[in-house]
Amino acid sequence: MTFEQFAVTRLDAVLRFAAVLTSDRGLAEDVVQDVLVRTHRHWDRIGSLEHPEAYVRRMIVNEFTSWRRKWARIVPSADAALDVAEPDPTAGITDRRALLAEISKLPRRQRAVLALRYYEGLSDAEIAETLGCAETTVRGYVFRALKTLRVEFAPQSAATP
Amino acid sequence: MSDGRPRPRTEDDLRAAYQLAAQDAPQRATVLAGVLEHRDRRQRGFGAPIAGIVAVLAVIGVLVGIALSDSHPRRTTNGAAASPRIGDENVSLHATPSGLASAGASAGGGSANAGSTSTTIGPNVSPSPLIPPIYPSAGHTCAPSEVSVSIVWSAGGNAAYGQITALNTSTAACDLLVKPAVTPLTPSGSPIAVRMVQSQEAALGPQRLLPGATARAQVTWNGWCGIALGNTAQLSWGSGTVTAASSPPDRSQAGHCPANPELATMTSTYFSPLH
Repeated sequence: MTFEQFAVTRLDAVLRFAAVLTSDRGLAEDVVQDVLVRTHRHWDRIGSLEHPEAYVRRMIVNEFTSWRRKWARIVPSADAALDVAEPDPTAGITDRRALLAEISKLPRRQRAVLALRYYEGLSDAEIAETLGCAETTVRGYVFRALKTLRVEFAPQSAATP
Repeated sequence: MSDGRPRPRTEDDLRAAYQLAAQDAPQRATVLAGVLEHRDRRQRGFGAPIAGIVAVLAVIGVLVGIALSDSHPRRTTNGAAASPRIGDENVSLHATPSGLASAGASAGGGSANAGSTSTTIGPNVSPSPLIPPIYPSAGHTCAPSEVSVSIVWSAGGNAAYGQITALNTSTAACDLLVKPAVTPLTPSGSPIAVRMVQSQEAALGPQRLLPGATARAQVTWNGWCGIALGNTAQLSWGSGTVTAASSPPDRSQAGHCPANPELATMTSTYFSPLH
């Protein structure tokens, strides 16, 4: 697969994942762009992989959780617009935005684990491989994140949506 | 649907929230334009110092040549068609419009034009467009008879989220050019009036669907409010209407009903072929 083919066929999915991961369109754009610049430079190697998209996704997660990103930008919180008193015909959307705002306050590695698990539908083993940590660590992140978000955890449920 | 008390959050709520967040993804063209600009800048950044060194060496060579009374011209200027490369014998310094940015902008809605009129001195790099439609138009929009479409709905509060999957069941490639318009149907087959909102951001060229290939699009129905849906829905994308198999959402997951059903709206995304 060439870089151009990747851009046409896979980039939209990558961008959606970045948007989910960062909860911030501008930051998602920034992270993906930086990753693609590096990716393009080494595409001969990356393009020959069996799953280049997974590799790029891993780069995005690493970029998002890297120490320099933490200090490079303050992630805006979306909760300023959530305390609207008037009846909201789209209450479900508001609930989701409230949940997303709470997610954006979690530590970045917890956010990465949640996005990989509940958006990408990866297993704990795949998430551990992506993050370069143990499966037990992944489960710990999930447990703590869900507890913070007050989400009922069903340990027996599959990771895939 | 709701007794007024806040419902405990579930993992499905998390998934629904992420589906919402995914709708706010950046545009592909914007990101690629940035990558393109960075590449162009980087190449020019590396090229200029190297070209300077080459120019100095060339001048020294000329001076040495004159000193040795060598009448053989060492270098030539070939005009705009020349493509000097590092290591070539005939290196000339000339102005050439950068072909990189213009190549990238050609299919990306014209968003990338950095450096398109600048004068560059240095190695000429073969244009390798980043955003062109790699898969050219198939020449015709997918007809309803060429595709099999299904929608799987999931509920989240008073909204429903549909994952549309289109499979090209024909033996020829066809294009999916516009966002699909969805008409949900009741269990008895009656259409449900929902205001379809079609935002007009540009699509990146034809989305060619190869034979046997699938494409996906997402539809969001804000203000669904637990309305019972049938097992079919109607979809159209500019070339007729197709009846799609529909997997209704779980009505028990529906939240508050909107005070004004007129506010119910539906939006969809472009199809993304999965080649």
